Amino acid sequence: MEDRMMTKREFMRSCLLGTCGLAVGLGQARSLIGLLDPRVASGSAGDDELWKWSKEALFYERTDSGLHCLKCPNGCVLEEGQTGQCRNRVNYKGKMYTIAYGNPCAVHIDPIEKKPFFHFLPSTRAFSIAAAGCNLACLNCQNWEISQVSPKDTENYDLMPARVVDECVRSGCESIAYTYGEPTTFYEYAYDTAELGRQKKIRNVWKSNGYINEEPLRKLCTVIDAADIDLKSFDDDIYVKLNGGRLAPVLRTLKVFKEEGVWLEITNLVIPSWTDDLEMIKKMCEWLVENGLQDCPLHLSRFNPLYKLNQLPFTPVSTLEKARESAVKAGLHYVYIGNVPGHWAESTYCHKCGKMIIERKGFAILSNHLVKGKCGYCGAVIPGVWS
Amino acid sequence: MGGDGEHTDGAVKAVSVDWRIAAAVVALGMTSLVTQIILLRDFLSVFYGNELVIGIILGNWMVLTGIGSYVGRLSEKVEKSREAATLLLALLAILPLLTLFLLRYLRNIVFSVGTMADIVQILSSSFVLLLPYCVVSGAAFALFARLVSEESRAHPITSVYAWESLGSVVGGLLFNSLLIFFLNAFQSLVIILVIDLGVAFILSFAGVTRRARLLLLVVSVVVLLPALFFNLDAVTKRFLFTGQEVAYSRDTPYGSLTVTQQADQENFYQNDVLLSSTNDATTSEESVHYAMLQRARPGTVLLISGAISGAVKEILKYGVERIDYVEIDPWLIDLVRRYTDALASARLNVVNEDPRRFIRTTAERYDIALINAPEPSTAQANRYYTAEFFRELKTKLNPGAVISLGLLSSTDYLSDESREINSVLYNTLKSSFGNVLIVPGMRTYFLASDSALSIGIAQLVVARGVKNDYVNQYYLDDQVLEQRSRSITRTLDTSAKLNEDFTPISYYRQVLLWLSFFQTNSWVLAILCLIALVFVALNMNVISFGVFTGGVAASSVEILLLLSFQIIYGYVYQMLGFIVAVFMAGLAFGALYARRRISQPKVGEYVGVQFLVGAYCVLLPLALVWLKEGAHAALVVHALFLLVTFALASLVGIEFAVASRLRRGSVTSIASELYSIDLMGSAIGAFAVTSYLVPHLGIVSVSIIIGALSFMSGTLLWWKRKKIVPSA
Repeated sequence: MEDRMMTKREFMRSCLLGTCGLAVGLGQARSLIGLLDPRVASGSAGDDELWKWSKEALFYERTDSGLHCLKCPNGCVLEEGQTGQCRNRVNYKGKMYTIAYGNPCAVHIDPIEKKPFFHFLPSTRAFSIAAAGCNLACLNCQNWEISQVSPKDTENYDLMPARVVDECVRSGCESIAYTYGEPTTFYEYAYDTAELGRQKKIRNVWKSNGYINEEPLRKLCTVIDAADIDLKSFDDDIYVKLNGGRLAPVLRTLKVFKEEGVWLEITNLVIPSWTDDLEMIKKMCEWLVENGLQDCPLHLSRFNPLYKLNQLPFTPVSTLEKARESAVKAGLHYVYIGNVPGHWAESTYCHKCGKMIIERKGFAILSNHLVKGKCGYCGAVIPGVWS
Repeated sequence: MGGDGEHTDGAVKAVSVDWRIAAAVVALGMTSLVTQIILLRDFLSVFYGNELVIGIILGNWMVLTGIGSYVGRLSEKVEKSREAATLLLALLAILPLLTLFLLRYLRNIVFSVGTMADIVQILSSSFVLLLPYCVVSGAAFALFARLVSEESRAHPITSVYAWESLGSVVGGLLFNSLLIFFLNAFQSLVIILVIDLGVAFILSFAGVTRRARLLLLVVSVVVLLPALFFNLDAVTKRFLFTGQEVAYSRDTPYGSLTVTQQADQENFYQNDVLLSSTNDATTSEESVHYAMLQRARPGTVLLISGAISGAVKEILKYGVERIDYVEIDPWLIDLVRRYTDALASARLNVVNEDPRRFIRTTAERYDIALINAPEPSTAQANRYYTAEFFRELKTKLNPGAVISLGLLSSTDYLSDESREINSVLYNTLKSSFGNVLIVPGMRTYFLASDSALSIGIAQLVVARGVKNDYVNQYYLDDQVLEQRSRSITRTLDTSAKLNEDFTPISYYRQVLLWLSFFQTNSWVLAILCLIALVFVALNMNVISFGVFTGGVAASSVEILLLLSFQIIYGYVYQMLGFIVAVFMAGLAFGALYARRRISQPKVGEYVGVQFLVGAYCVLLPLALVWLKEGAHAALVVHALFLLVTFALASLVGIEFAVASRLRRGSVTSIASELYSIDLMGSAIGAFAVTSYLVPHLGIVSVSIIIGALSFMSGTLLWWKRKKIVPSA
């Protein structure tokens, strides 16, 4: 019978092993690869050490159990040597430091419409920067290569605030955009840059998930001109599962921006099976109207499969159109459909007379019937920052 | 499993066994093979199918079957072995259906809808789902072996092994040549269910109580009714495609095709991966226009896949003379015809062939070649990203022609893993073309040509007067494009290796990228690996080391042969299935040969076989390179592949038969331990070959290394030969 086992084994192997075996040992091979092929970061400090791009963080307090970060609702409490969930705040010798100061990993020039901002300096360009890290963990993150890593794992530019402003001026951009990843995580860098930018008459725009505490947010509002906030859904449970965050802080952020007079646009990504419930979208829009945000443009964006959420189809255009209809019915004045090239809902229609006042195609304005911020047909004031 | 008390010296005598038992063992072999193919295909669809996931699922299969065999030792305590065997066969008939049903049903319950499962989730969920079938199947073989030995009162091994092999070969041929072309996964498993239940029923007419027979009848009716009268495929597809209506579903040799309707949109899936959705102008335009715009009057276009996403309509905007659309999967062509009007143009020539093979044989020359292959995450897909492929393609291009292909990648920032993938492709293209241009879009597009390429896409659109929804001056800003293109190109690693047919580094890089999605999980696998290594090291002796190297050689050379055939000849589903069948037949032949011809195995014979395997592995690359470099008749290529496959399998078959005889005298528990060592060792060996060694060192070096390992174990055995006491 021993023979029987041997031949069975051999037989099984031949049938099954074909491409087999990988189950075990993968992790080991991976670490081996790590040794052979080391990451090239722009510094050599360990995760819990300081480097050239560290600066003492704003908004934290000392507690018995460690340093309590007060910047975002995650409220990380960091013991000595620990790093926050956002991957760029560390407790070093009893002080909290940001390690994302002056070291963006992405620096690009984009049309402002790409953020998207449709009512803020149309047809201008934004000098866009991002440092690594994020305080959420969305399954469909478009920029996961930036957001889900530490600044110590990315290849970074050496670009202190003054240089960002200089580069922005040199490249003829009218604004600096804090974008791609999550600017809340590189708050100190963004704040100082924005403050310097203002001195040079450069506008500052904030593209964010809105997951920030009230105090840092109000301080930020003193240097920021416009914000586009991702309202990822209107359901706390979905926020937990899809994004690793909560809904309430984001709603508070929207209200604070409005109160502080920062120009606000809102983006809602409509994801099939997750955030495409029209009833939920209706409730979301009703909440926006109830809170006086009916003039804030809402961008309903088409989902395309990305990152970990890659086994879903694109959002049907008709679903987006129904969502738009629902939003308009709820009382929102400016509702756009994004990521559907050539769609009529890319253009701006006067909320009063219904006529097309800005004919938009992509990042270009084909015709403009806006006269000094008013509808060229009926004279209604069109909310926005137009110049 | 029993000991060796029944051993008879000399060649094995003919054994007379109840034909019903023989039929049951054949059915077991057949069920095992068909179930494995079907479940593997479905697991790869439901999860993300890269080389690593294939390895994980097959690894689980092996380990669980090994556990089953070990558990099978308990069969010695079963009194009514015939009755138990009958019921076990019935259970084995039902479990594959149940496993498939649960796999699809639980996918979106256990994991969030639409999310990619991580490596630990894949490892654990495939372990749990495969556990019932694999353990029962492992145990069943042990039980049947005992049953045969009871019936025949002689050493049963030759007959049992032969029937079992026959069943597997029949199962493989039945599925690959017949079932896959006409039936879906559930229907194929129902056929197996009917056969198995039939055999179980026949088996139950001798030595089985009436009560057991009645139980079998009731179970059969209860299972067969829903299996025959419900469209289980449609029911379970609905579980998989939440919120969508499944309008079409078909299993083909190249994977499963599904079309879903969702509001006004149709979605096309291959192996549950989205190929395209209607109203997706961005993908269809980007994959075509970036390349087409580069030339003022493109005349002939080669389109490798991609018609389903609307590429043909976009190409026709240029008034081309001819489009050759090459698609390997005839059912996908049928789908394009059924759901789109893409194939209506008289200027379109549809070619149903492996694109690499077509390029080698066509007499046509092209101005533009658009490659829409899947990401190079498997060895098969990697064939469209290699230096040899680009060289072959270039011989079929007109001067100044442009080729285009895209990779999924962020354009804002490239992680180390993405950068490496992009660098390998960039350098590989550079090895054939003077200019390579990166156009950042929804995917990162690589254009290559020996003539100039321009990033001024918006300007070109205006100049050529092409009307697009997305690729136009409104959505694309040339300055922004140029800046991003430059920024990506600047970060690429110019020293990155080339991706070559025999050194397919890209699929390894893709696996690393996939792993980087899940940053904290690899330690679990590291620990598993460590446990396996410690276990193997603690139990290793010279004989088992020989078995280990033989196992590594068998599994890895089979992989090398399957890979090489695709590279040298092209992907032909039936032929790959046939290679596997011939491999199994070779193993059976080798084992039978050893049993009949080697009456008193000696260490010297074992060493000799080890050296022969070593020599084979060292010489194999010569044959492969000879085949690859020359233009040989199809008959020569096919014949040679089957011959070398059969030769190695026979050698390994002999090796194992001799090894098992050399170990005679050892107790059953040692046999079980060695079995586990062998499984673990082979798994680790094959893992190293497929996921690391082949992509890094290449097929030629890996074959030589495997040969060296066999020489080493042979030498070691010779060195220690006096310590090995041959069987009495």
